[in-house]
Amino acid sequence: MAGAASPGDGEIIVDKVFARQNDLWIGDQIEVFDKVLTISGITEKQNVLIYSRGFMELSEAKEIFRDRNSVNFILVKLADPSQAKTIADRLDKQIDGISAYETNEFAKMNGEEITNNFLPIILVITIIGFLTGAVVVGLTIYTSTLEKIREYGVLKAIGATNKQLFFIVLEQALWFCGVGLIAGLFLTWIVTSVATEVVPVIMAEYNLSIYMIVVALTLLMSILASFVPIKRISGIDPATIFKS
Amino acid sequence: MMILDLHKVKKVFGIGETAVTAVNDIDLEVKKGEIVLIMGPSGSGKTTLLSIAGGILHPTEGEVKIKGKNITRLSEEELPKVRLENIGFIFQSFNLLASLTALENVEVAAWLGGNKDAAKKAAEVLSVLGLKDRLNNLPADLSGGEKQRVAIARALVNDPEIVLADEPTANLDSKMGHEVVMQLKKIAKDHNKSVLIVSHDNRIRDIADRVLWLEDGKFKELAKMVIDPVCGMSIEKRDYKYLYKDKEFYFCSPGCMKEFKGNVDQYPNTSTL
Repeated sequence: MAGAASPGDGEIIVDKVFARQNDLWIGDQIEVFDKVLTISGITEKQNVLIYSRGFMELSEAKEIFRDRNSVNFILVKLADPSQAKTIADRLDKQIDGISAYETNEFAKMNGEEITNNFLPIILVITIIGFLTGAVVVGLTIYTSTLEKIREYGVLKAIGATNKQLFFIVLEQALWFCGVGLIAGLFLTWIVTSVATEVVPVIMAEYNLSIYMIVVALTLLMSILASFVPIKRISGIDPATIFKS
Repeated sequence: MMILDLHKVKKVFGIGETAVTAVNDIDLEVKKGEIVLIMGPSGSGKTTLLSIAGGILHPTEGEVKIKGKNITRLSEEELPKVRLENIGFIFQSFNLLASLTALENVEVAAWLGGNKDAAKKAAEVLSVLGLKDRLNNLPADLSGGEKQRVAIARALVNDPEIVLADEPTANLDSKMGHEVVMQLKKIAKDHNKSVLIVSHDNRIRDIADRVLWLEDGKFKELAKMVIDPVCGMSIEKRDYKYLYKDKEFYFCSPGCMKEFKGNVDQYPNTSTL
């Protein structure tokens, strides 16, 4: 975050993406429903895909949104956070036409709205990406196995079991996917670094759970890919190696 | 002690009218430390017999015993263990894994055999075979003789009872071929391993304790065999006979006989096997 942590009179705090898209910085002025406000701060993580957020004084917000048919929410900071539920219930009862929520509840609802709107799309893209990856790795491993079919036959002739050959293929697939994973993460880092600069609306965030999911999917992809040539390997007749 | 025992072994490929009997009613016993050479024309069933002896191919009829254990009816899941523990294979075209070094080629066989110190064992065997300085070379960087020695090391690394060699000198020049032949002799006589060789190479006859002639899937008497004076092939005293100066000459084909007749003085002698 840059600038002020909370807005004063005639001030607004906007999110970084909004600021970038409109080429704004602290000290610049913007017009919100005929009211001119000065940007006093810029937040890092308030933009959610197509939604931008601004923070202003309650009195300012009341004035701006009065007589407008729009839905707003007001963040209330309590001196004693442990009283959140009690106060939310009281606000609900005492003020008509509003709904009061605790932080977690509000965050959950907000999250669900985003999830319900965008997650199916992202999920479909992820599934397509996973399947494409599995097919590419599977075909690569299959082709590589076919190229070395005689060598697998040699191993089988000298005493390798189908299970041992499968683990050799699996190890190859893991190496293949492992190298791909490292290259992919590196490329992602480069692409997102460039993309967030070029396209302000794109925000990239990494955390351990995302890495763990990617590693788990890569592992699954390797295992699935190893099954592609298994029938071919188990069908190798070791006697064929005697044919020169 | 009998290491390999084939009893009434028969192998038929195909069924009905297209059936081909590759090996027919074969009995063969190989003792510990013995070198047995099987010779015969192409298509006589030599490689099929070797595959059956090595537990790679199931016979249609008969029994195969290794160290007294009947392996004839063992499943595809059980046979790899038998091969790993008892049999070493040497192939005509070396069949080394191209992307692995000499050491790794031998190490992989030791690893399959459950050797916990596979790399050390592989290096030891390769050193004994004179490849100490070639451990980290890829097969492409090795000569034919060196490749075959790596293959021999791979065959020996799990200390098998019997080594089966399919045309081990076929892709080698005479010097390297001789080297390999001597190596096979060493395996049998110094390490007391049985060696069963299938080959056309007459040089191997010198080291063999027994030479068997396989033709049309059956062993034949060697007394009836002679060498074609033109091409040097071992053949049966049967077709393409030519009498010259009271001496009988036999040929593998009309071509060789014609060649001989045209240059008789060039081929003064022939010998029986």
